[in-house]
Amino acid sequence: MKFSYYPGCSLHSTGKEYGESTQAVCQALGIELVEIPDWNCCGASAGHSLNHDLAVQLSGRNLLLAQKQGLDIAVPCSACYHNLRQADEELKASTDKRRELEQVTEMQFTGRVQTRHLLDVIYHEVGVDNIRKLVKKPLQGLKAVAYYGCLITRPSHKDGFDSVEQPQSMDNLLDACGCKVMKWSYKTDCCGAGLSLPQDKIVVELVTKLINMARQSGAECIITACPMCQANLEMRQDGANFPVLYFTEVLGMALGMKDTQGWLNKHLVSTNELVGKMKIG
Amino acid sequence: MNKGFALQVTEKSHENVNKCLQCLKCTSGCPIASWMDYKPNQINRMIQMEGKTKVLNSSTIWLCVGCQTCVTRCPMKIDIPHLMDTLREIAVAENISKEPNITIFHQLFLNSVKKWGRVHELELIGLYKLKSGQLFADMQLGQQMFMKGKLKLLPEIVKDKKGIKEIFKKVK
Repeated sequence: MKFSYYPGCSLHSTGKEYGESTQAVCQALGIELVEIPDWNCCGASAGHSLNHDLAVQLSGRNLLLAQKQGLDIAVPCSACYHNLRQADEELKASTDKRRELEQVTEMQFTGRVQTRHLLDVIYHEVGVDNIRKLVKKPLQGLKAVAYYGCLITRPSHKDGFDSVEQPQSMDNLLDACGCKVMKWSYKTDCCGAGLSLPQDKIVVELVTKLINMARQSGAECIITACPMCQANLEMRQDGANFPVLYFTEVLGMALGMKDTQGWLNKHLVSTNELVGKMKIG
Repeated sequence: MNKGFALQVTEKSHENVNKCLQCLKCTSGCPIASWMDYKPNQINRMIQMEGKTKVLNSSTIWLCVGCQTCVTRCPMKIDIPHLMDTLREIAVAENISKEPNITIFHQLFLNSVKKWGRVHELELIGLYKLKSGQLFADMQLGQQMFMKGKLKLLPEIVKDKKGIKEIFKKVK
């Protein structure tokens, strides 16, 4: 199984451990990731906030580079995923936008490349049953909630890969890893996204609610599939000391991978106590 | 009264706010609504009523994070996040912003992408601090991230710089 890989800016910086765990886990699961050569930023929130067409063209360039590779794209970042899909849809619908992109890049847009979230790829292409078989170290002591955030299921009024209001894919993957997955109603509530710097007070309030609700559910950590959610949840939790992990890190631990500790060391909120408990459990 | 605002928004966004039923699904589900000066459904109504000045001077258009909850639940499928993009673009063109720090942050972000092809977080944070005047916010956090290798000293640079510049030039 081979995918074109769009890491996005975060996975090379603030979400470094997500990038590293993604690469390692995909390799272990038999998913070959070929990084899009010379990819550019998708424009993040800023692109569509200030110039909608710019966002489409920036993402469009990445779609064309993947098209050249002849592979569907796997994207671990929910915001990048949303932007690439949005661009794909608008390019398919508008001759003008397509022409603009083709003029700049001197390539033809075929619209045949599919953009998929990494969670979708692992869940649907590898599957829960296979993962269950591959698990070497069931994480029995780990009580967790799955947090999907906004943009995984919500590009969406179109054709999403999971339920918009009650997604299950990550819950099922965590369950396959042996975690005790707790029920909560905040799976798809917003973390505050791009307001983290210019309006940190709002983000602190949103994140505090998420942490409190996760705690109330009986969970000891939150599991995410987005570098922006993860960063906000760690940076803006106001001293709550509540670990926030990537689902790929959890998969890595369950698969008994060696590099796990290196990823966890990069977190801003210590995971030592959590991991210690798991060994006893 | 600014005649033609509703038409301008409709033409630019291809969204028809006249479909709005004022059912309040958007506002009820909006995670940011409690901080907004006008709620999303009120923005819809104000567009219909040609309330250009109020709409463009609202905090709402800047605080909307584009989480897509409203459009997902809207019974009339009005793409409010896209409407907000459109309103911001009009506001920027008219040099209006009730939330200057958010505007500055977005502008600096795009400058970084224009310059390098990818965003350089460390430079972005530094410039944002200078421009917004929030010099000492998050110092400890920044230091911690830097020590963990999460903020790089040097930018990652896209080879096809010309291509990126061309995109920025074209959409201007």
